[in-house]
Amino acid sequence: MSMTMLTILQMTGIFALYSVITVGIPALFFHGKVRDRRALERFMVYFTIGNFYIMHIVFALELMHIANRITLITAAVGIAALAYIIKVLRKGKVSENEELNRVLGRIIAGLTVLHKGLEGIIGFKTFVKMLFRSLYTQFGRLIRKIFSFVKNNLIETLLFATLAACLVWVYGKNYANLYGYAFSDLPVHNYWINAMDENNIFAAGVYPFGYHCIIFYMHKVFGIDTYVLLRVFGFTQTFYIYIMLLLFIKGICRSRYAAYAGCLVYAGYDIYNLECTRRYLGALPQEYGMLFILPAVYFAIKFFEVRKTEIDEGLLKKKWHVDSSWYLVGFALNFAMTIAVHFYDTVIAGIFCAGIMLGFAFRFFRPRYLGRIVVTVLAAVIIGALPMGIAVAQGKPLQGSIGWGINVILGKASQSSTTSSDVNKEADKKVQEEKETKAAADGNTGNAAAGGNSGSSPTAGSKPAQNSNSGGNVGGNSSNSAGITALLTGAYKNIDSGLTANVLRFRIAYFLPAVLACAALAALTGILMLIFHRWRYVAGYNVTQYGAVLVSVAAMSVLMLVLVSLKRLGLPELMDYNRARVYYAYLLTILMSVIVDIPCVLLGGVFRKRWIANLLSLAAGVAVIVLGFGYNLVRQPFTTSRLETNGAITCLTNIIHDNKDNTWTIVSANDELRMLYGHGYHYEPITFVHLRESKHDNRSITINTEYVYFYVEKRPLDYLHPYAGSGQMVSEEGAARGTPVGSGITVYYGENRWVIMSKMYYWAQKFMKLYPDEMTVYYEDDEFVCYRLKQNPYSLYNLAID
Amino acid sequence: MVSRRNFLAITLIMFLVLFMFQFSEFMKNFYNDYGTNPYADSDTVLTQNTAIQTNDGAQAVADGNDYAVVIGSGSASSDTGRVIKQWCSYYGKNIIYVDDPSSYSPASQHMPEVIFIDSAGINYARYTEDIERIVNTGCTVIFCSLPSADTIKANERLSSLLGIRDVVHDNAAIKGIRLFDGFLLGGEKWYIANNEKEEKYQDMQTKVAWYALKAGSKVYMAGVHDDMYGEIANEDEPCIIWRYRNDKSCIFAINADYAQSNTALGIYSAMLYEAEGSIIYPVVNSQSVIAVNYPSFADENSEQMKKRYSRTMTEAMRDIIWPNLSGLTNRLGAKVTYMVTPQYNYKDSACPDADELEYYFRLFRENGDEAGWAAYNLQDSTMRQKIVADYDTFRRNVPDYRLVSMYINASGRDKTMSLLKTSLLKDVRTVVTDYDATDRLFTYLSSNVTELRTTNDGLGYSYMNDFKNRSIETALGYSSVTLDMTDVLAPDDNSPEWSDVYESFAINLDGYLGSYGAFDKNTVSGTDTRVRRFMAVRCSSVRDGNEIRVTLTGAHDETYYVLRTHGEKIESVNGGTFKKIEDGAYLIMAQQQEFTVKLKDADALRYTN
Repeated sequence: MSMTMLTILQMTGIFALYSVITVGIPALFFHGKVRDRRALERFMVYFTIGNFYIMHIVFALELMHIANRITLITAAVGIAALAYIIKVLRKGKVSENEELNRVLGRIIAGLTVLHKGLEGIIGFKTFVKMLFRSLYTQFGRLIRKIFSFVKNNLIETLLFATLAACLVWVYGKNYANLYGYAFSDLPVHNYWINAMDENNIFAAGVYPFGYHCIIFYMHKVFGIDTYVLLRVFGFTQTFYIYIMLLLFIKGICRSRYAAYAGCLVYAGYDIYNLECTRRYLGALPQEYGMLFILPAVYFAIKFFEVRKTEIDEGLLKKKWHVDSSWYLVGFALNFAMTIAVHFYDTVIAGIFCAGIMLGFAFRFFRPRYLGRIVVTVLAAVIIGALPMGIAVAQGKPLQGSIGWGINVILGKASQSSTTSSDVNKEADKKVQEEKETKAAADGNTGNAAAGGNSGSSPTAGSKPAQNSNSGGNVGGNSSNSAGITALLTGAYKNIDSGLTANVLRFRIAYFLPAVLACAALAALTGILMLIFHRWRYVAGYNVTQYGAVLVSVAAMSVLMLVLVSLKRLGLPELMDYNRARVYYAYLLTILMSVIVDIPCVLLGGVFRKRWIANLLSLAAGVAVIVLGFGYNLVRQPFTTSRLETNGAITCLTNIIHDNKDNTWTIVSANDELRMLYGHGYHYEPITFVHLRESKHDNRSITINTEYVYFYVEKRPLDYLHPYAGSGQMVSEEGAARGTPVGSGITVYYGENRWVIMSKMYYWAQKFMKLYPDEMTVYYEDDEFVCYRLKQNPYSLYNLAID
Repeated sequence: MVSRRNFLAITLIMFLVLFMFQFSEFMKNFYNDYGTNPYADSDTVLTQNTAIQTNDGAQAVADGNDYAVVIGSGSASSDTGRVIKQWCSYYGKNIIYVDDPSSYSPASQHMPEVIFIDSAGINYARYTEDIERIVNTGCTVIFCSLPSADTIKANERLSSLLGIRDVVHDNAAIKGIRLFDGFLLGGEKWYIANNEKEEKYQDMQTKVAWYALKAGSKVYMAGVHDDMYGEIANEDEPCIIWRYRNDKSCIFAINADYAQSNTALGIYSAMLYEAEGSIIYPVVNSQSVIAVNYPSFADENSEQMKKRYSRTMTEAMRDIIWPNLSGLTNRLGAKVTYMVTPQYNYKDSACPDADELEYYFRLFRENGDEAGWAAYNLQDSTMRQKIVADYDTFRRNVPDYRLVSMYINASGRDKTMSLLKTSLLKDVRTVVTDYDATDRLFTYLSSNVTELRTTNDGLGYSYMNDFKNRSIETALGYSSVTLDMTDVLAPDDNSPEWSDVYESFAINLDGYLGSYGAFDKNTVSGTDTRVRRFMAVRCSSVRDGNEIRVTLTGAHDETYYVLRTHGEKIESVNGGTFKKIEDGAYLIMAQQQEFTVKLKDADALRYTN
């Protein structure tokens, strides 16, 4: 089987698995509770509960140091079962509970059949037949429902399929074709998740671990290797990010298809800077946390709507047992998860909430709203920070990057960065300093992930000038302006140039005015609707609610524009602009969809026909597709390079498959160090080279496993640090150079890597001559070669040959 | 009251049951042709003496066949030299003995396949440079033994040649030896006595010169240091057998005295395999178990037997010994050759019982075993009496049974040949004799009579014997285990009882045969047939990628080969069949003069890029 096929199967499997545990299973339990809600709302509820439940089970068990497969399964099933039993008991007499009896009846019937099968009372064929019949009965209904849904929502299904295909095309292809990690953060996250295997959560200090908990759960309970999850889970994550965006927009827009117009532009149009979406090529915590921002915002918006109805209808007797409270719970859970996963997501969620506060200001400050909101926010913060607080109380120090993040916010740390690593930066400040120096020298600091090799991207290569970023040196201009006009003009120009450089793929004339105009249009429309709220229900729409949402979106747009432009304005930067622009592009999709939605809604309202609004939004969606192809704006698949060769991952996968655990060692630079956890051992080539070149008479290098695999990049990667000879093959010249000196990963950067790989290559060639049958080529392609050494564990070879 | 109908039905069923049981027994007896020997091939079928004759001297290079060179003064007549010659003859290799290293240079147009250096016959103070020159020609070199540690310590060039970095101890005490996996067939073996009971097995050397090796060496056998030396890393243990490779040559060294006995046969084959990527060589592929002086058909030694077993001798043999022995050998799949002695004492009045003889011969036939004749160690005069008496016994009871194998211990060639002229033994074509450490394991006594040496005493297990067995199995796929029943059936006061003998034999036999399930089990006659074919065949092979083409000369029937591959797996054999012995080792049966082995693509990964 090809690795590509394996990766596709892994991606599919992990997508299905994640969907089942975070949406499917919660749906089984809670579909009755939310049956009367909109489908998108139900989905968000299930998703919220699923993620929160798993995340916090892992947190709890890890903090008690008892997390393993059995406890994780027991806790997940046990708590759910306990909740179910309590619910049943509260309903009254157990024997009269129809639902319980039905469930028990099914379980007993299933167990009876299983017992008969195992005891041989029924034959194997009969057993299989009964099993399939049961499955058919259970799933047949579901399948029929799906078909029925597709039939009744054909246009929407087609649009969704187009969006899904677009995502597979743009992001999936890269995942399927390039197997290694795309970001230098991932080995660190891998390490932290590995440590969770030993019940050592927060291994490097207290850090938001929500994302790690989810990955760990899938790894531990389902036996999927962490490195496989980190390689391909990013696709699932990205898919869900788009789904959440789509659902959110559908939730706030009033025409049926406006959301597709925005999402298709975001997913399929080649208009944004690559860095705005490149991070979707990896399973990174920040992006994972994005999944919870929009549900939080949606639940907050819904709270204002439902609470208003409750107040109007006087449903206030049961103070907390009202629908609006459940929306606040939804908000709190999602907001807590942004804290638990990544603080940047919390910042963005906060900004979005500020937008809502402005949009719904006419209700927000009323006691009947404000009190509950304050309590909810406090609860959310406590819930989100509780695991970290417990860890701190247990004596765990804060992880370094938390301090770094705080310093960024306080303006004490560098704003320049790559999109790849905050944790790595903290781990290696020296490297960071080098990078900053380099960034300052060439003004190009945005070219980050997968390295500095992004030049290999054809799209990047075609418009190099437009892709250049100039983040660091414009902010000071405003201080030179004399009058307010000049100041505003200067600020405008800076923001405009910043957007062009950092957010857009190429210069779009009047982009900033257009964005501002859209925000203004949304705000104006919203305000008008709020003013003329007597048109309360135009064609079935709640005008006040819709108007407030429009104002909120406009406010969010402005606030996000400020956030992404703080540095351009010479103000302290709340967030690294490399990260902020990811969110900004995300938000623009919402704004764009709303702008499409407004005329559709207005025209639909004027004619009092909802189908007109839907038809117009459909036309907009189709127009987006047509225009994309017509103006050649369709995005090509990402073809970023990775921090590891495909050959290396192919070998790792085969090695894990071919050998018993803990009987082998990989000598490699450097991601395998974390990837092979639980299966084998790792040895650093720099240690190997240092020992081999030592002048000691009796120098000896032994690696005490039966099999030793040596990874040699014949064409060494730059590993984020291009140099003059980037891309050159290993050579005797490289092998003759002095051994690189440095700490940590720096010895594998740039030219150092070439020197080490050259030394390893020529050593391997020589060793193969001495041990032709013991040292063999396990795998080789144009760029990479893996040697396999088989040795006797009781009489290890001295690898320190001259 | 039973009705007539029911009575009839019951009667019919009883008859039916009776018939079913008795019929099978009747048929078994009816078709049991115990009076003939199924292993007695006619002389025309038998491969006559067509053993390949190997050349030496100048002819060794000229005839184009593979040849080996033995360097060392007097090596042609030394035990080491004889064993090497034996090894060469089994594989059809020529041999050259070189007394003076300075006078020898390998023929560049036809280099030797392997050069043996017998250190006992070399003055290293004088010839180190010449040895270095010979070694650097690029041949595979085997140091059959090493000079003293002092010599090595004083001779830096020699130690460098051998891959020795340092002499750690001149004569270090070791408490056991580890034989590592992948060298000899049969896998890893630790010859270390873990308790008092096992100490009786320890007969391997306990003192060795302790050398620290250079990088580039590979150890196949290492001592386990005595506790007095403190903690030592595994790879720093005293090395017994190792390989050192430099830019030019592949050098093997044996830091022990194994080269002076047949124990070296497999070591040399394994070294040749280690020097090359893959190797294919002919083997006998036969393992035999021989019960000597069992059974006997006369009731003798009654007093002792009743005292020990509460039975007469024939009763003890039938009721106690036979069930044990046949059960054990059947479980191991072994075919036993029973070297019978019709009676032990020819001076008493007890005569062989015809019923007993028939009983055992029927059992032999049922089990696929074979009967031979044992020449119990009697005086010449008694021997003549025995032959006459035994001939009479066989003639009267099984006149058509041709005795084609016999066992004689410690006899001379002439004496044996004279025995074969007697009427009793005129059909014998295989003579089994006891193991001799330096003599050939099998040879032709005459044009159609072979002599096979046993390799192991079923009751005499020791670590050295086990190692020897592994070595011979590796070289030849051959073993012959004997169980001498004399002490059991003609016991004195110090003789062990059968239960002890059986326990010991069962453990040892399992140890000897257990690791070599792939090799066939045969009676002595079956082994003889295999040996004749083995000695007649010469094979040459050429590897081209994943294909090994093997050409045979002298093969007319099925012949057997061991292919060792360093982990590569066989995909198919065109012109033969194969079965796995262990990882990287296969037994191939060739049915044609030429066959091709196709190996699986070693690079085939489960997941490809």
